[in-house]
Amino acid sequence: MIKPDEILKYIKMEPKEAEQFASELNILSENLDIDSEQIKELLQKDPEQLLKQKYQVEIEQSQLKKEFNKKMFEK
Amino acid sequence: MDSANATGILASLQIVQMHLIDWVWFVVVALIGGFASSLINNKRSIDRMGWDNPDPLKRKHLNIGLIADLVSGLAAALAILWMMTPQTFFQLIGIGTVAGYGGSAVLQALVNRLTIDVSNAEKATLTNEKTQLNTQLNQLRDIETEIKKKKAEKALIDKIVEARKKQANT
Repeated sequence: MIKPDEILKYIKMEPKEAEQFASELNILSENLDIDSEQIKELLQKDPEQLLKQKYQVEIEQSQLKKEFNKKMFEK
Repeated sequence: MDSANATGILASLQIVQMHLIDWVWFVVVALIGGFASSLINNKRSIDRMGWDNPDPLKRKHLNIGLIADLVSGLAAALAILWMMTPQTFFQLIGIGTVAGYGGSAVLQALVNRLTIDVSNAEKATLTNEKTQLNTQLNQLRDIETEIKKKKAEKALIDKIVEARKKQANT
């Protein structure tokens, strides 16, 4: 569970906005089965690191999709 | 071994010499034997042919199972005759009937056995294929879960990047 205070440690925003953002992140975390520690790690990263990680995730996702399609049609 | 013995052995290996009428009788009783076996070992011919079905379209006029029984009875009877030559007409009828019935039953048992073997082999293949498909399905589910996780991670990163952009603008 992410608290607004934790968000404010890494991102500057209004407390109300932080509350709103924390609630959005918590909903995502709950719905998509993501560990709150993982979210905290992401919050600590700067935009460049985040983009790199996003790129990495996209590559992994694409590989998984290829693997899925391959397995789907293999006898 | 003297020549007379050798001739006797060779003669016993030959098929029986009979009059045509005896052969006709033999074939008839062998067919009766095969038919008897067909009635006792298999489903009644009336049922198999569908003669008791009120719908004439569902009645069969040719049933290969029954014909196969008759032919197998005849074939077995010929084999028995070759081995056990009858000395009288009544012996001939008796042997023909028994051989027709017994031979048909033996061959039918063989066919049943083969059918069971084929069925078991098919069952084993299907079970194997089912196991393979289940394994494949589980692997696909695992990959799908991983893809969902990656998608979620990406959505999360987008959210944080957006927040950071807002921060930079203010």
